[in-house]
Amino acid sequence: MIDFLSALSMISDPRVILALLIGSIGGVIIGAIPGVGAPVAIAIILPATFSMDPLIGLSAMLGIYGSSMYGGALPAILINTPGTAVNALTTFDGYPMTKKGRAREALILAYSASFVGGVVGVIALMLLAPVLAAVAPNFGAREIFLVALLGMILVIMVHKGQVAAAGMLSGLGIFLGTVGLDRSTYSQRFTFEQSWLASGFDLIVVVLGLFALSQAFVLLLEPNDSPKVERVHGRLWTGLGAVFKHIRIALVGSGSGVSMGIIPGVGEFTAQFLSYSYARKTSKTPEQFGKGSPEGLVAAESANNAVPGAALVPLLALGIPGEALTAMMLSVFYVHGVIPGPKLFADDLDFVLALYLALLIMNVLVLIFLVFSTNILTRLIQIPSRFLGLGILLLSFIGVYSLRNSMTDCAIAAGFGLFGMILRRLDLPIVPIILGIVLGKIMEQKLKVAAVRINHPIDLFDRPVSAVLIIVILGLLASTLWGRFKPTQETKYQPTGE
Amino acid sequence: MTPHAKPATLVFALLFVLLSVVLLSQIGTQTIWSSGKQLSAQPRFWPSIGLIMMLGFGALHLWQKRSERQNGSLGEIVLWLRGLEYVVWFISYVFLVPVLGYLPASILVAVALVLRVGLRSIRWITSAILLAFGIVFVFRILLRVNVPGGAAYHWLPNGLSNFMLTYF
Repeated sequence: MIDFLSALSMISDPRVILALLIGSIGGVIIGAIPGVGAPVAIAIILPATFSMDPLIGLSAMLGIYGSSMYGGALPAILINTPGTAVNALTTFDGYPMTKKGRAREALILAYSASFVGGVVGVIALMLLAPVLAAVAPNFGAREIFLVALLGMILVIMVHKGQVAAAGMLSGLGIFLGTVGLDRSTYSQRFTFEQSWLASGFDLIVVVLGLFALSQAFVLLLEPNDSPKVERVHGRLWTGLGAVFKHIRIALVGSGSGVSMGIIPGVGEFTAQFLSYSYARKTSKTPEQFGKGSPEGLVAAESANNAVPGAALVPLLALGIPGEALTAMMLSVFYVHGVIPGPKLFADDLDFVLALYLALLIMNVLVLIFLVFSTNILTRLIQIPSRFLGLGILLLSFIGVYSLRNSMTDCAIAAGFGLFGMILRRLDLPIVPIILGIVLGKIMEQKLKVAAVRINHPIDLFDRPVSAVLIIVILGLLASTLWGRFKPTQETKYQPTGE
Repeated sequence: MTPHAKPATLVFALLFVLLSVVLLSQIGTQTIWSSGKQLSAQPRFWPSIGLIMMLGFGALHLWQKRSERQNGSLGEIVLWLRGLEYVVWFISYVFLVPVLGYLPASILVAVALVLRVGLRSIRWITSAILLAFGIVFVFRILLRVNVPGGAAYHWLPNGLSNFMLTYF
């Protein structure tokens, strides 16, 4: 109770509320502009929060992180263009509803389903993170290594149809994370005797290049695209209760978001498709899915908004990020001197509770903001893509340069920007590189410590948590290989040529 | 029917595999083998894991893409090279800031770039100036982000010079 009161006192600091307000509104705006997205915004603003108090800086970042998907639904519904990648499924039913003249209803459902998902995600975080933190002392170096390995494998496997590409880019991430000084032997790795490589690649510089500058380059090279958006007529706040007609779908979608969000490497896409499949299977009108089904819209939006809260569970309890945004959030925590893990729950429970409260408040602020500002936001969607590119380029400069006032950092970011631009043009995933860097470093550190006590492979099974993790990893690999090589109906059937 | 791939996918895959081979060939000279340490604690171990993954998965990616039709690869590669132009814009901006100062350099780059990308009406030029000013205002004045003052500010009269050095 004392911790809760202390958390309330921390969160009621006007500077925290202001940071949360700016982060939440900024996140919605950024999410609503196709081609920007939360990773770009977090990468740019992160260095500006270095000098802030940890809770203020983290509140702003959490605001952006949690609210961008709310905003992303807006262009997905109105112009068939998802604001963020994870709003892609929202276009399936949101845009057909707009074409049928039901834009207002679609927006109301998307906002309220997102709110249900967001709140369920935070509740899951509040309930599950302490449980995981309580179990976390059973996680030694060996177990942390195995969780990171599991995350790495999942990151590769969830890229259906792009497993090879995700694997090679994860490998690139692991490699990039090793460049520079090896602290155990004080030897240089892959520095080619270049002093600027001696300290390795800074994660924030790489993130800024791959996410922000690459997006700026893509937008600047594209033809000027300025979509026309119709005004949304009618009050939005009067219909917010409509989601209760589909509350079963919203709750199952949120549950799907929570369960997929907690597992490192899985995230929003799998959560949405599970939720969407369930909604279609159990619907009385499955034929309407993809043609403007409110249930499909609720399924997609509730699932993707439940993920951010849930993805913070392994991050806060174990210090393991599950996807690119949480990997960036991990660096936010480190920069502010907050080290996620069981010790955080033991020593600074009030701080953790304040973060939970910040996330809850963020969901309320975002809903209120969206309900009253949708028509203003529609004007932002119409900004020409090249002008957006110009804005991101100017912002990227301050993001990189303010880190250390280093021209070298800017040049490295520009190099990664060009590489990221090529990846975006080829539809290749960027996230595995970031997770390769972060999880690769965790795996290297933890395996070094764990290996001292492992004399034989059977030693890996002598602790229950590590045994379970190894069985999960082996099962996952076996099921994937079985799915890849088992004879399918199509291969068994020999066509006759007709 | 042969599936379509994005233009230049094969070129990228080939370059990626070549890069992996070149880096892997340097593993002996760019990392050390520390005697008396376990394999997993060797400084060479994790770079090797990363490079083997790059090579193995990269070769698989290349193999998968070998037979996919890719029209317009040359045009795509030209577009990648056109991306270099904006790298030059960015680096020029980086060099201009310590010389001209953050605000003048931002306005100059914003206006020049908005003209370069074809948004040449007064509306977009004004928007670019306001955008540059807004960014400088938020990051330099409100968030107090550390950006060194421009050398050109020293040429200004004393009071104005101090003002510009402090705020812009």
